[in-house]
Amino acid sequence: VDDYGAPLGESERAFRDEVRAFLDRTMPDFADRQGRSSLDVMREWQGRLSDAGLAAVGWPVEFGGRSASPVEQLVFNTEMARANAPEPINRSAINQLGPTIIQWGTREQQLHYLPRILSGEDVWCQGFSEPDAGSDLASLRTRAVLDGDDLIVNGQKIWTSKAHYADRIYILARTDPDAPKHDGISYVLVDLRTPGIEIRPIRQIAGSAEFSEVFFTDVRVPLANVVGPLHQGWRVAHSTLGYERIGQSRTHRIERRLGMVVRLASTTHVDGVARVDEPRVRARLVEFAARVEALRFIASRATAAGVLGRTPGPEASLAKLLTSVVDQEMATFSLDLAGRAGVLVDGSPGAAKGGAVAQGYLVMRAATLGAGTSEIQRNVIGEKLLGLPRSD
Amino acid sequence: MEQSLLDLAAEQDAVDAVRAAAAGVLRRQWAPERLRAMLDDPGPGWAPDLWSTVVELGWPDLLVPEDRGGGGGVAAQFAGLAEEVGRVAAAIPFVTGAVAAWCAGPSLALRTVALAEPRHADDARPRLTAREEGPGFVVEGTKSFVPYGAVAESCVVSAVVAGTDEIVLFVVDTAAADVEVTPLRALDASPLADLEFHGMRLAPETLLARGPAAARLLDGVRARLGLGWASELVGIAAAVHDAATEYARHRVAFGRPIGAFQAIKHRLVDLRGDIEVARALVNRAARAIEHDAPDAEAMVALSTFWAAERLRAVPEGAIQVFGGIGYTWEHDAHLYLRRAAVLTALLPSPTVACDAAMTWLTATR
Repeated sequence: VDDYGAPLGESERAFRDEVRAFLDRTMPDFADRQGRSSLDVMREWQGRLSDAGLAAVGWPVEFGGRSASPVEQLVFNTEMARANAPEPINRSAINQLGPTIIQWGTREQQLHYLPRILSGEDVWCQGFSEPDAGSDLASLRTRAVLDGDDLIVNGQKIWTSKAHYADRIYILARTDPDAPKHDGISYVLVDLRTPGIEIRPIRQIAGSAEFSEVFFTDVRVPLANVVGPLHQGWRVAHSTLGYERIGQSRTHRIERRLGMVVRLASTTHVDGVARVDEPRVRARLVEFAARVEALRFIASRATAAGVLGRTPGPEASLAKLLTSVVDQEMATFSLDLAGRAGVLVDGSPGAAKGGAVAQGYLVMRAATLGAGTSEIQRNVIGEKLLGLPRSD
Repeated sequence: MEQSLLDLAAEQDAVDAVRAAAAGVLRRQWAPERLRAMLDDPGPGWAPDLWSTVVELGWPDLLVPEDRGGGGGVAAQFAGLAEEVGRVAAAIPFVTGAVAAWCAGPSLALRTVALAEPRHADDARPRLTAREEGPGFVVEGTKSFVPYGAVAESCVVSAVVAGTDEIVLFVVDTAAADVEVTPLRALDASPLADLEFHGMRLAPETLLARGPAAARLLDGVRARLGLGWASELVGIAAAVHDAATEYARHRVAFGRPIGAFQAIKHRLVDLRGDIEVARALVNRAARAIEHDAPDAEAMVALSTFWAAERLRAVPEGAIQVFGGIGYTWEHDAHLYLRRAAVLTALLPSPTVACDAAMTWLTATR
């Protein structure tokens, strides 16, 4: 019952069984694949999901989805996390771009792009942020000038994840420079192979480059690639941002990491004693488990509230902050747990989890930075939830 | 699907209704300043008048099934009531009273539960011995830190049959001559006591359960006590946090409300996060208890562990936000701090809770 914070109905149980059956027959093929986030694994996983009709369960049936209820989506995410399933390569397009095209796109756009998102044939990245338009997105300066049936795009995007292997990018560009800040913006789909696009990866502290700068110099894009009305892209973008997962996938990420930390503690021995038997380690693990379990419950309550058309409780607004903090703490603690083997990197003899512990430690520095730093989150929660005065 | 979610919503509505009614009663009959007066009074610090009212309203019988003359309430309602009691720092034995009624049936007597023993952490394995003699038992040993032990008329007591590991539960008359009651004086003036049993003779009718049935009943008692106390702590923490937040909105220093300073704002946000985690955990544990789920013990363990770890720190942090005014006798902050400290001491041992949670954690990952 409490796997989902709410009792499951009959159809939800049937759906869960279907997802479990899929995982039972598919996961063995991925069991011994190191580096679960490698591109070919993510691509192949996307394909398997798509073949089973499970790539975008939340989409309407007519576009290849399952019209899954929020509870069924929760079931889907929970089962994927529990099975430690790989990440599909197009997850963000499925969660954000797809629903936006379904809501705002033309019939032609829907028929052309949606199936290619599902199959993973087109991998998408998002081009919203700019060097001077991060939190204050509407001050973006990338321009798109009308030229017959085309737009000519000039400008720069930054912090674009996946740009170095994506096929396409959806961007916001200013199409009417004279309109008020929020009015002259359009939402445009761009093929990354178009002449005039240059992608420069930004190398991060862990050594890899998951983000890029994307430069547009006189890039010609058909007007037919505008999603929603011309100059009304701000409203369209709002849909995209609104489709951001309500912490579900993050909840599953911390569940997965909790399992990893517990297993690491059970399998790491010092002087013949498993670290999981050290009181200090046990206390930390239980403290993590308490937060992860609470966040799981909060997420499922928020889902239930959504289904019933109620406003989620105040705890939902704290979820992002709490999630990123515990995620980072668990990654840091893994480094401590692994001892000296923890700081050894991929390729070194004796590296803990093949270097994944060291790598995770570095990568998780971003948990409290991305999608609004924890300090910004605390300001927003302090002002919106607690009603405290602004800090200027 | 609609059905199950509506059930969930209906259950939540029922909890909200009970809480709202309870808050009204508590507001009319109790105010935290009464606790302040009790601190200066050497007598047992509790509110018999408020207790009579809530007994009439049936609060202690909430968890007793309707066919046994109780309120037929669910664990989530019990947790909600405990939270309301905590919110106003009411000096009544709601948690122990309701748990005693749950396991021993409704009663008009003031009844408590005695599980803790001196220098012994694991309440699931009592050391108080019960020797079978004739038709009944003879009990020998000490129960310590018994909530309301100094004023209770009777008490649910856990023991082990001498020379075995068989658990027995009794309802014991604490006014009897062969129980030595030693009142304790704690930070919140509540009537705690140590109970010493000097070869006390117990008639067969005082036996609630023995053997596996008693072990199960004891598990249920421990789970509900943990849930109740953790919920009461949530209420205490939430109330003092609300007060500190309100203060930070209006108290001006250096030309602006102190809540505009990030040192204050961020502290209040982090404390609120700790409270919401605790609240989610007790709600989760309440559901597990209600459905008799296999992870109920683990969920209670997470709740009490987290409550012990983080909730007393909320009044501590609130006093820091209040500054000097929060250090005065007239301010309510120390009332909440005192209650939080005593409740944290009542909670099951964090080490034992940690073990229970770890057993679940390693089995499920």
